[in-house]
Amino acid sequence: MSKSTVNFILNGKQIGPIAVDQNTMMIQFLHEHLNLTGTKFGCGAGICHACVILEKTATGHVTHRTCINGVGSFNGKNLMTVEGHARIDVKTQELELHPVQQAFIEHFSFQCGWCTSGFVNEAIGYYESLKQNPVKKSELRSSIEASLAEHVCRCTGYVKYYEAIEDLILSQPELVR
Amino acid sequence: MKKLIIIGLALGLAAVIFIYFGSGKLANVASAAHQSETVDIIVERGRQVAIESDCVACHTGPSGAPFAGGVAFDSPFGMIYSTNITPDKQYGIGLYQREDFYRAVKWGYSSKVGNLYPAMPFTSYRKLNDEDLDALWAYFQSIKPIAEPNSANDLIFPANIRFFLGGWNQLFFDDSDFINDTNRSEQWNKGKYFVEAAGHCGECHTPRNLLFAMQPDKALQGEFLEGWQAGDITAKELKSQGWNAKDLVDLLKMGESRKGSTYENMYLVVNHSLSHMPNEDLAAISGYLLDKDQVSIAEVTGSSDLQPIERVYLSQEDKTLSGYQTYVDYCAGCHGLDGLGKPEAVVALHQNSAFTAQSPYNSIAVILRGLPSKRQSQTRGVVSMSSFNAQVSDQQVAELVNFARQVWGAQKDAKVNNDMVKEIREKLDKEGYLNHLQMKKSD
Ligand code: FES
Ligand code: FES
Repeated sequence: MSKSTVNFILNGKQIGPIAVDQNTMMIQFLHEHLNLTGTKFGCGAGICHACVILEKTATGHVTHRTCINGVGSFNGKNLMTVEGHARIDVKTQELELHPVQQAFIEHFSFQCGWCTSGFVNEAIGYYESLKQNPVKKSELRSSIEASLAEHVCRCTGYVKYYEAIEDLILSQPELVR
Repeated sequence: MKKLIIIGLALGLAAVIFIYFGSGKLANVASAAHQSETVDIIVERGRQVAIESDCVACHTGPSGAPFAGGVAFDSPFGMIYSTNITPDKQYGIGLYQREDFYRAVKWGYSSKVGNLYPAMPFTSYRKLNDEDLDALWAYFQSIKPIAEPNSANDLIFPANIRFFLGGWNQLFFDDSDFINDTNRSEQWNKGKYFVEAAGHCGECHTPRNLLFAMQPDKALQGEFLEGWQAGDITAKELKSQGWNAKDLVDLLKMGESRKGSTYENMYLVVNHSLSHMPNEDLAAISGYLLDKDQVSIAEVTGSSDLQPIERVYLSQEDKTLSGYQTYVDYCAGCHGLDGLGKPEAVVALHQNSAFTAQSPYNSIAVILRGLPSKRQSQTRGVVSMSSFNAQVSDQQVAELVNFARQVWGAQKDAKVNNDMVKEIREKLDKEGYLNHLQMKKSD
């Protein structure tokens, strides 16, 4: 089978250039080549958004579904998966989750966790976008719902995800206007 | 401005001529009697004619009240709103006499406001026969009156002067009756009648001139509409694309076929109108469009299921063509590595009319624009397609479309070049059609 070349930044590290089978989807590459299994494969048809990862662009953040996009479509991009958001505190050596991840845990937002990596990436993209464009307080709920609308969760009923983000944003006055 | 004034004066002059010579015809409305039929039968036929004519699509607005009007049409001259056609005396057509109804539907003249804008397809309804018109009139008298006021149009000069529309009519309105071709079969003529009259297919599929009149010598050859191309549906084109009668009936009945799926406006036409029509009528339409005198019902029905997609796999050679890698990277995740699609979720690409069509316009536009999801029935639907405008270069689109036309559309020409894509991209962007799926965040 023909090969194509993979070359991008993932969680701050340069990946490639490496040759992979031409037909490789991004989620396959994450799981099987990089052993990053935090990104979940749900429907495999672009519907549930469990497999969403985050791209940092010059102007903000964009999300991509990895089950339906070939690895080649990510070349040249600066990407984050669910494995890349937490930091190790250099002094204490403690794991510090991204505030969005922390909020999800504090609100018991997920149960089985299959949808969680997708929610984390989408919600982080949304949260970061508010640093540039704060949202009107009166429109916060609807804007959270719009940003996560396409993410399917079969366990929780969504409310705890939405509440977690709402609480997090309201705790940072600079994100609302 | 000067140009507009000249157009205005020309239309005004033509209006005078139309009113002078045409008024006699307005009064000469035939009066067909239905002595032997009961009112119920006539009303039921009228309901069917209303379905065939797709009245509901334009006359049921945001309030959802059936036939109470209020649908906005964003024309190049400004906004036009459809009107209340329920029998309400104040806002609807409750004070109409049969003659008033005739004038409005067949002649584009309302006794309330004067000349109608040709957004109302009276240029096609003119071909309806009197029997169907009577039935339609009976039906619209029988429905529930709804007291919903009409919205005022918001148009620029000279389009806001209805008087000038008489001039437009004089210049472009073909006031001849439907012509039954005695050399052709009854079924073929039935199909022709539907396509030309109630179905008003030409209103979208026939190219228009500078003053937005259909060009009869180019009937059904395709026209641009809201950033898409309402395809060329002439028999020559359909045959060259490999459509058969069953494909057409599948598409008209279910909104999907072996040759692809209907979207946007045509999806609505299928849902509101065509899917409610009997197979006999759809067979007649398919026969007329394919220029066949006889299409048997067995040929187009057989089972209610769609004709299966041919499982044709790409060859190793196909996979070496430029465009294939872009296909894998952006498209294969949904459409499959061999373009076979996913049943009830994603259309197959082999023989898809986007690629068998002579014009590559829609295949380029769909990559740039994406498509909303649609639900055809409880069990049948298609997921949305992302807009790839921000993802792919002009060259990638050109290579992709040439690849797809070659392997799935059986077209050997590499017709699409970068400039063509660039031009379409700029046009769609200017008209506000790119990234219109705002709700779609991730690709
Ligand atoms: S697994 Fe990718 S969208 Fe469901
Ligand atoms: S937590 Fe189970 S699917 Fe969302």
